[in-house]
Amino acid sequence: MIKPLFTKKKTVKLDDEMDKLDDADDMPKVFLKNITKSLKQGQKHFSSNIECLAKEDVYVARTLHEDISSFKENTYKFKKEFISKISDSSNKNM
Amino acid sequence: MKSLSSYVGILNSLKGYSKSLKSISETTTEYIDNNHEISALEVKSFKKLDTQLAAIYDEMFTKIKKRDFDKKFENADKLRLKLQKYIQQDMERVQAGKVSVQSSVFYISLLNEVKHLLLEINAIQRRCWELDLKK
Repeated sequence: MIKPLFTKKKTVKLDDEMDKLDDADDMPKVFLKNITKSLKQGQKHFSSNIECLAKEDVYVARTLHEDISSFKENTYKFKKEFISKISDSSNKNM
Repeated sequence: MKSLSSYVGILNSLKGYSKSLKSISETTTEYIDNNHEISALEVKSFKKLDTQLAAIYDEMFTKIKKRDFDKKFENADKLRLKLQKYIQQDMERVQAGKVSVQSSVFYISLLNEVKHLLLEINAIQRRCWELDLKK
């Protein structure tokens, strides 16, 4: 089967920005909000992956893979940000 | 700040979770890009799995919203056991000549990554329980 080079289909675009930990007094609340956001994003990514597998759409699959790679980077960034925030508050308390 | 190690543990699990997702999409893209075929039976099974995963996520989101966690996340464990059954069924399909070996290898590798996803989801919920994040 010859596949088209480009299609107009797009994958689900989601908000990649995590909520900033600085903005909240309640750290656990913001923390859990970010975890929920990430899992919801992950769920949608997985469903989209199954969808483009069923349609054998390589263009959508590539775009989705890029989105998921940014999602992965974002979770790494959140971890880094969280640890640095905790270190800052520990240093202030010393 | 409650138990820093549990917070970092949750973030590590989230990292593992995103790594598995990336691996799933990478394997899928390569497979489609190489014009390999996937059997309709396997696609049907993936769609069923997607629905089962949706129930797991919904349960997890409710727990997070209510901040009511358990030590065990039984539904995720049950689904993990079912994945083993799915693998067995696919091997039987290969033996019966209903699906190709190539398609089966792809299907099983994706199921293994889903197993990792479930393990990480389970670990996130367990660590949330350890933190006892009551409202």
